[in-house]
Amino acid sequence: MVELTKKYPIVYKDKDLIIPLTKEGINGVVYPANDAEYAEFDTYDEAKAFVESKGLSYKEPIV
Amino acid sequence: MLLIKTQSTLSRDIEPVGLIKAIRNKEDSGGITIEPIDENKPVFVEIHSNKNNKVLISDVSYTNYTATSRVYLNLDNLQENDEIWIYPFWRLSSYEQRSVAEPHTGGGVVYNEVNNYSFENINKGLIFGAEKLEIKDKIIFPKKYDGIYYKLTAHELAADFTNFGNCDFSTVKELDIFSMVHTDKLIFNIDNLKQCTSLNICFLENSAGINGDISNLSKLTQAGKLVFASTNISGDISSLANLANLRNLNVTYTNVSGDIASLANCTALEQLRAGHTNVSGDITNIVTNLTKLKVLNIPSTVTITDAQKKTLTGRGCTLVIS
Repeated sequence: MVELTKKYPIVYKDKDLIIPLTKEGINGVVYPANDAEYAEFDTYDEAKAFVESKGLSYKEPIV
Repeated sequence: MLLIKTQSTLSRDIEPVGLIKAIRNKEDSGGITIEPIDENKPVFVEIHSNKNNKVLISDVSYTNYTATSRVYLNLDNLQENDEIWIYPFWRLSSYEQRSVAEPHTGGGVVYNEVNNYSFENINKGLIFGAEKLEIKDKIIFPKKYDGIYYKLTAHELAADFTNFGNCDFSTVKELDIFSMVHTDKLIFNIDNLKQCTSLNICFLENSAGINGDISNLSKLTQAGKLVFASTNISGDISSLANLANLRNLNVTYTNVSGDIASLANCTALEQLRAGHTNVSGDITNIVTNLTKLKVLNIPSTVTITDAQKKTLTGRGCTLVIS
């Protein structure tokens, strides 16, 4: 079981982020779904660069 | 063959044929013209394609509020087997208040400015949707619209001061969508929604001015998505236990409390986010019953074992303990 403990975890499937990346980060532990890919970073800028390099986005429909 | 269909975005009750009189070919150019059924009441339309569901063209003759409003759709860029959906609706049809509701139609983005506006003069249903929406003072829903279907959406609220504090929702029983984002200055008490029993989606977040007790939502049995992240709402999460259609609940960073196990019968849930709240309890029944979960965010006060974590992640659920 994978544990992501850094402030900026990235969990994604295909091009979709499972949890949004925010500057506030996550103060806790993330356990990615087994069928998801993941990474984690200490800084927001690093995480953002990773997201952009992979072409990831968080899609939560407004309606 | 080009398919042209009409559908009201308004309501199950208001038929589009009641709004549009004719959809006919414009003989001299290959396009079509859409006319409202009542020449004195312009119809606003959005035209979507089956490809991207975005507004293609909305060229409304809105220069004279007493004249027939016609919509011309140029079909030159469409191809065989394309589908066109035409969504007609009344829009803020108090004709004399042109400065209040003047749709910008050039780019497919509607901008509404509503300042101390009352809908008293609207005779039939309305849609109150906009990419940007500015509300400077208050909105009043008169009682005569009891039973009429409303959709309130804004992707971006542009106002410095946005106050729904005076908004009277007490007669709005068929609100389907109440969605406001980027609303850090929005003031709204969710208690106002307790009569909106057909509410499907409520999206309100990131504002300390959003408050109220979540127990007032206990009768919203049609609710599919309730997002109140980073607001000042409070109350016992168990009050949502009977929302069998709920797919997405987000109360992170709120004052909500109670036993998370009370949601174990909300088996439609795909996303349950309750981190950074006062929610507690044992996760056992959630793990057992909520097999559709893709995201589960819980505070550290909720009891969960390593075996349960493995069960969740093993069936495709990402778990966040925060």
